[in-house]
Amino acid sequence: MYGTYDYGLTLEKETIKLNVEKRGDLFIYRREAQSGISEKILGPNKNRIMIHPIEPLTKPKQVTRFLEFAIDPIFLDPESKKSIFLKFPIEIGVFVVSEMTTEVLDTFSLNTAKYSLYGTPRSGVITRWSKSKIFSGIPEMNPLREGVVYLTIHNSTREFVEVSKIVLDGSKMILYFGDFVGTKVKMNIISLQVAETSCIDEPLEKGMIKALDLFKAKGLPVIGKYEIKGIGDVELRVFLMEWGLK
Amino acid sequence: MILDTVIYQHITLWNLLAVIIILAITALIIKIITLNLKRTLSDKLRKSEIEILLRVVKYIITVFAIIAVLPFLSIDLSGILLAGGFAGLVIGFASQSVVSNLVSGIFLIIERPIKIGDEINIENTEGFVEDIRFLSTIVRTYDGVYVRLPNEKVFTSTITNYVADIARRFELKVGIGYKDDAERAIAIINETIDSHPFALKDPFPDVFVNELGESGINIIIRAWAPTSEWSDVKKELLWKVKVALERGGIELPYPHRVIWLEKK
Repeated sequence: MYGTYDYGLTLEKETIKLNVEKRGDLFIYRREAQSGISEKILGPNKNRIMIHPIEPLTKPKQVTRFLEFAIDPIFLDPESKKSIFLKFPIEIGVFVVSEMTTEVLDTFSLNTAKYSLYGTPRSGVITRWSKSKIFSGIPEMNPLREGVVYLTIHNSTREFVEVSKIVLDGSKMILYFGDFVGTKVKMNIISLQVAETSCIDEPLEKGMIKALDLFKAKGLPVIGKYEIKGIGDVELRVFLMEWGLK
Repeated sequence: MILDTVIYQHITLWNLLAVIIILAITALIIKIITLNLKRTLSDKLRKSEIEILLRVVKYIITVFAIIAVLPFLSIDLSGILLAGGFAGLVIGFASQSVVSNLVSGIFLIIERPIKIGDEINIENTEGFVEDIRFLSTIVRTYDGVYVRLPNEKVFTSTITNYVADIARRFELKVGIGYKDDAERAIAIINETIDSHPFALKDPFPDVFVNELGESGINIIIRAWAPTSEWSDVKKELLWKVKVALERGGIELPYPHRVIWLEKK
């Protein structure tokens, strides 16, 4: 289902029915899914439609940009590194692309969402919560519902550390898609209670296509941009987990 | 020449024209700067912060413009300062509350217990903060009434800011019949809470039997929601819990009393 289409497309997959049809001088975008119906009028110019997987942050309503993965507790040896695979829910983004710009037309999901609080109500963050088993390889999954995170955890401390939650800035996540949807995340444990998580801009396999960035397409401000002399603006993709790892 | 015509004491027509030109240019500069600041900062700062910044910029430029205009009006600044000392004393006594409100306003802007758009309660005035000015704070109540609160009152009162934190707890009370299984009812309620996206997973919801009431067993539900969704989640969950309990065969009792009639 993911890909680039011309106006006039008709797609049916699982519970999703999606089409762009000509009505008079205009085009009408219509999408049906279990989460409801969306209908939008498009201009007369023939632009292209891109359907890509996006971060699960917009449904039922965007209230946060942080993702939380709850996992079975994992014990890490002192000064060790471990790589695991996790499943996470994804949403589907429909973008309209002209030569000049890209705009989000619609987002929808086949999953039910759940939110949580990481930290305190005063200074914590609301997170889009999901529970995952730990996999040692790329698991079987439905690319319309789930993606896989390749998570590398580095325990920099000289203690055993137990981890049962990972929180990261979902707006900095870079999804790639092909036969499956995937992304890479790094977690660096600084102390028993504190870790840094960062999103990596690399595909899990060769030939995977980089998904459109929902937050850039929406024109939302990039928070955490800093300047390195001689390099220019570099996006800061690190989130500090200061409210515990379990 | 006509521009040299004296119109009042030492003030010529040229002086007056210069004053008007300077003030017009100042107004234009303020407009250009505020417009550009709004355009540049709208992505980066909150609306309330932009408003405060714009106001400060506006006042600074205006003060400079007034200082620039004074010589054209033959007003000596040193004379103003001398006269200002005495006038300040008189005005100071006369405008204690104005100064007090101004100082409170500055402290409110620095301490920021409330921001524009916040949902607050100050001395039983409940609503949304519409503006924080130097002398007063404007609140739009829930029924759309404009209320002006002097900043001194705001600063010295207990302020309840409902949206200061990102999450907020709500409490619901549900009654079930004495013949019903409370444990089963609690399980149904927990399932219902779990199915609501914005009833937060953590802090974990708390559902428990609170009271053996006159008409039934009272169960208390305590759950957390993102502050922005708090009101909707509270309203939606109450109805969903009612529907789920009825679907699960749990009776929601009406107030009733058992009367025994003695047969003689």
